[in-house]
Amino acid sequence: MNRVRISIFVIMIGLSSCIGSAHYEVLIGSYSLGAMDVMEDMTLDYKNDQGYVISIITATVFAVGYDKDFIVVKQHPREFPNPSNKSITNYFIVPLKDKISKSAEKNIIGPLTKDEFSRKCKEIGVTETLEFTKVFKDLE
Amino acid sequence: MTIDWAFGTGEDNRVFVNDEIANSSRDVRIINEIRKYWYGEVNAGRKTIHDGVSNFRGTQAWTGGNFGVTGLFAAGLDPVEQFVGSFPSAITSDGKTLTYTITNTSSFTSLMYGIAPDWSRSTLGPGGNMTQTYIFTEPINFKK
Repeated sequence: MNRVRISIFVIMIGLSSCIGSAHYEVLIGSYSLGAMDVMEDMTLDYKNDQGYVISIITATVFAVGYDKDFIVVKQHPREFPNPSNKSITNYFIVPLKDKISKSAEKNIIGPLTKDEFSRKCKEIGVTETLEFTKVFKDLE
Repeated sequence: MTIDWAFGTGEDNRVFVNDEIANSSRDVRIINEIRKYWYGEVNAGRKTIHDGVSNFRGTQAWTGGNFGVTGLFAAGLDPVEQFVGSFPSAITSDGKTLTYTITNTSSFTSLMYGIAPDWSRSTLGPGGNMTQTYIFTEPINFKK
């Protein structure tokens, strides 16, 4: 009987392609970076009160910075299954303190161009010292 | 598909729409979670019946995926569920029908639980990235 159980378990492991993920990293509070199968899947995720994780900024996120008030994000947009479009860089701001929506999915400012991002940062008080401290060079 | 991925044969990108393979995903844990989430959000008034859900990952497993050891056992010997493993899902709605979409990339990175590289099939066929999109629909039913 044990041999049968072990055999079934080995078959299941053999069939299984992905138990974990390509990348997972908690940033601050309920916010994390995650890539499901390949690094190009990188998204900014939020874990809600029900324990469900939802990507609030879609792939491919390649740079982030954060302090207690804001998360700033750079993204090359990706339309699955195509690779990310590195000719476009979108900027996002996620307010952590003065939220613009109760819904995490809507509590996002962006996508913005670099100029729009700079103006918005000054407007809402993102500190000049907040930098993109986490950069994925392969995705940049 | 596992053999095709391992040997780099067959289509690089595959789409399954309301067929036997796509329909086999209707009752997996993450789909049940996104279904419950969508109905809950609409019932609570946080979403309208025409709103969708994008990039839903559901309950997280130990290393950030949503399959984990629990999924390994829950999937049993279902070859499609085991092959897909962790995946993000999405719902779009036209007000009458919900369209569920699952996207998945089979890669060496995901096989090795994030500790190995991945590559495109144009670089090297065997073990190269192979994508699948599974799409199925169901009528909206608040009585469920």
